[in-house]
Amino acid sequence: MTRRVLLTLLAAPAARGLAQLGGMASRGVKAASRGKPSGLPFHARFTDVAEEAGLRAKVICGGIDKNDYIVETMSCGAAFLDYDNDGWLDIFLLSGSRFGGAPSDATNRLYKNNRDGTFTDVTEKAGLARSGWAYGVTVGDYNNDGFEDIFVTYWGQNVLYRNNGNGTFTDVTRAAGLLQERSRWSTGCTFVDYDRDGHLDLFVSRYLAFDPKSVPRAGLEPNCNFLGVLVNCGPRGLPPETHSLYRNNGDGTFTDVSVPSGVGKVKGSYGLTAVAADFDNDGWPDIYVACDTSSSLLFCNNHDGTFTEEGLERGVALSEDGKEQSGMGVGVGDFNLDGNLDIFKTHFSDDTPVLYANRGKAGFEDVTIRSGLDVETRFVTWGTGIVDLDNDGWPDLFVVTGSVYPEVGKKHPEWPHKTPRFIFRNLGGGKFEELIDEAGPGIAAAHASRGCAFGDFDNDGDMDILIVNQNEPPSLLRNDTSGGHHWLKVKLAGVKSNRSAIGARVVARYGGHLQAQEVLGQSSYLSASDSRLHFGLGSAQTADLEIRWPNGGRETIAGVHADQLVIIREGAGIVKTAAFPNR
Amino acid sequence: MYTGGVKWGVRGAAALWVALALQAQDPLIAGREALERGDYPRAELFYREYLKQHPNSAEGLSNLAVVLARREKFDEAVATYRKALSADPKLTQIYFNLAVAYLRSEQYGNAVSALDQFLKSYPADNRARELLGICLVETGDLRRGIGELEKVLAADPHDVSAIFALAGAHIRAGDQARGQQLFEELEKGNAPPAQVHLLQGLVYYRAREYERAEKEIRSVLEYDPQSGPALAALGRLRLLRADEASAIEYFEKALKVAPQDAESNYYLGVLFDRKGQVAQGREHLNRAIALRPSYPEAMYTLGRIEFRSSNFKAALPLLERATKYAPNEDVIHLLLARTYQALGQQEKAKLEFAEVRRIQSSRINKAVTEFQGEEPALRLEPAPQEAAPNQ
Repeated sequence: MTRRVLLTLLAAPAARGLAQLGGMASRGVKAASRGKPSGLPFHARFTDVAEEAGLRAKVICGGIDKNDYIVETMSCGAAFLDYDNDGWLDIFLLSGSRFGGAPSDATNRLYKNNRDGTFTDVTEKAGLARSGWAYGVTVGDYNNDGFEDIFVTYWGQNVLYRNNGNGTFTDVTRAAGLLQERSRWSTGCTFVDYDRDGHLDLFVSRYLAFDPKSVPRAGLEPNCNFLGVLVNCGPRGLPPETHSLYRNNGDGTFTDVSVPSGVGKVKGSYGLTAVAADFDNDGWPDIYVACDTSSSLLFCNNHDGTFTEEGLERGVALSEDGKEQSGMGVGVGDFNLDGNLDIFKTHFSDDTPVLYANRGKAGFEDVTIRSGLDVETRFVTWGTGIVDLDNDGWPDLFVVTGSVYPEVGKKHPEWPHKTPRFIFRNLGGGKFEELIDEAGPGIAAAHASRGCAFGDFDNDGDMDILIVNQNEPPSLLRNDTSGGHHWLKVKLAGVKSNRSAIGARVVARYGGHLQAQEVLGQSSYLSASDSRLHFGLGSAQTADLEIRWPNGGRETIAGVHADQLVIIREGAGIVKTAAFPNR
Repeated sequence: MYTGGVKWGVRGAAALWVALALQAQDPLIAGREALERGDYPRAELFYREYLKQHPNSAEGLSNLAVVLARREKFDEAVATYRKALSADPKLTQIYFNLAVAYLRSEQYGNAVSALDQFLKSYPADNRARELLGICLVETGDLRRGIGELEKVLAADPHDVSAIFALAGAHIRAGDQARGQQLFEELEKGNAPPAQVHLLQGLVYYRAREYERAEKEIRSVLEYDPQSGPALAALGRLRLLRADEASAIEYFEKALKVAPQDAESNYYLGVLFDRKGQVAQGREHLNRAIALRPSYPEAMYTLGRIEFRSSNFKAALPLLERATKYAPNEDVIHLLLARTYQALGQQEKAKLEFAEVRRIQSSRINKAVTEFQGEEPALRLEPAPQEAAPNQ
């Protein structure tokens, strides 16, 4: 071969060798073969009851058959919240829009729980009707008046809704100082008391700077293709955005402290779900952001109003082989019952989700492969959680899926647009096995899903799941557990700490185990879950609880009986209990 | 070496030598001499020294850029070429070098722009036009790419590399028949049939038509059953099809024919490691490095094996060397950072993590530049007030 012929092969420079299959993980990850099923019964079964519950309105986002722009594909989150403080979870579902005209009834929706398995749409009455490109939601009592408020991110302007305490909300974005200087694409958001002053601050992550005038529509740019089909462009190639931190001034207003805090200085990431939790066990909340096709971020709290981004240093930015992944959703919990909060992150297809085991101050370790989680790479994965679904005392992993390119599914049946949910049930000992059909029809059903929230909407002692389905009504998966396992729910109310107790950590000790959980402002994919912490206890009938409040105070309550909700007020111990029906 | 009671290590001695050399000689001349004898690290030092005194010297900048490109520091080479052009816009010949630097860092769109500029001044340069055609094909502008390559072929119908590139472009454009016809012309032109089939196979391989690639490569073996490149190419094709057992077989055959084949040793190292046969993996990787001392992939993979086995002290020199030869590979810097962490060398770890961030940021910026054809708005100047739809 002549030198000139070799020259024509220069387009494959030496560096590319490192991206080939030669010993380094490429994004074309092949699933590992599955082992033998454990044969153990799974005592949870999920049924979609959304229709009978009255959740019939579609969540609109993007086109049915194709999407011209990336902003139509990412879709949105949902929230379980108790907006009227009646002890029953209500539902807040976000909605997107559609280029070329969205249906006239495309709006976010608030559904009030009727306490009988059904919900009533109270959106208009509550003042929460709004059309637009909504993405993420966080729920928290930012003004400490005892009622949960809602913050929603948009491609456009974000919105802060103050709960008026009478079933209505008021848009106080401008008054609160949260109007952005221009329209931006915000995605993840979480209330977090980063300075431990008792007031909930606000972190917002952003995806990219999107302007439909400067991005070609799908089909017009040959480089924007997937499996040979021309699709919408991005995120790579489009300018990434920066993230923001707003400090709560304690008077209903916020100050943008993005730059002085260090958060705003981090560039070059396509941010999605944001989770605030104390990952390094120093008593101060940190913030983890799942990022798409870029390193995920871990903002470590320096305790002085500033953060240092240490995702790489702590081992939670990339895959085990150092590759950037398409981080979408984040589950936070204690899968291995060691008292540390672990991270589970979802990704694009032909890639595994990743499970980072928290080794305390030593950082995180990617245990995806050894946990048996590398058996599933077929789906694009989104909303997720580390949640004990069968109450056996071992938190499981739940994932919703759905592709981003409906047009590809038509030409490539092996890449369908709608795909099932799946559960990785925790077998203990750091091992999981995948369940789909075995967990009930609600799991096996195929949808193009995005956000999901976890909560006990029927107050029967197990965790149900609310799921956003693109251009369909949502799914409400009612969990019917069996097997006689016990459980305990803990609702915290701050006094010196923020009223929502976001950032409070509870360590439950039961049956020789211990498990840590924190009250979170956002997790899963752009969603907010039931703020009542749910512990499956297995066969244990009591649990000892250690509470660390966001402002640093600690309390211990021993011998709490199982199968009830306990409400604990800061400094006062258990102030109320509620026994739920137990199956 | 001892000086005044102070012990100088090897590095200190080298630094002293350079400092003395810099004083003794015009650094521009010394740099040129070092470049000509292939001593790129010294050449870089001399040119940088020269530029301290003459920061706007187009000659100094362009020569430094050449050295940087030779050392595969393409980002910096690009920036330095551009500075040279700013210093002296009449140096239009630099556009060709700039284009190659862009091409080597896969910035094909920018390479096209640079070549367009070059060809304005040197329209008869077929070498540049051929590269332009290749880069246009890589950007997806197949029609224009084919047009440029046809011009090259019209000027020299026997230009093998142009025929090869044009055949590849037609195949990528879906015109298999025309691509095949061009290859037949190569054969008629008395090019050895085995070589023609091998080229065809490589073209199909790059076009991700793996079945056709395999068919062509197997044809090579009919002419030459002992063709090392064909056996190794089959190994790579089998690897792409996740047929690791068969890939191992072909690489081993390739090594029997050509034991000095560093790449086959490398792939065998990877594959044996994946199978859990770590000792065999190590053996092949060590051999690959011995055969090609500047093989960063092999050093990285072996370093990773050592890291996974908690042999951090053994991993360290491998990864340090790998970063020298592949300075823009963030995965290597990341693993090196983790190795420093494991060895308690936190300051060095910090530097490597910073390098990872720099490379990742650069990659994102490049993608934005390529896509939009302008510097990315990472500075995020406030944009005009625009409402999103439905607001």
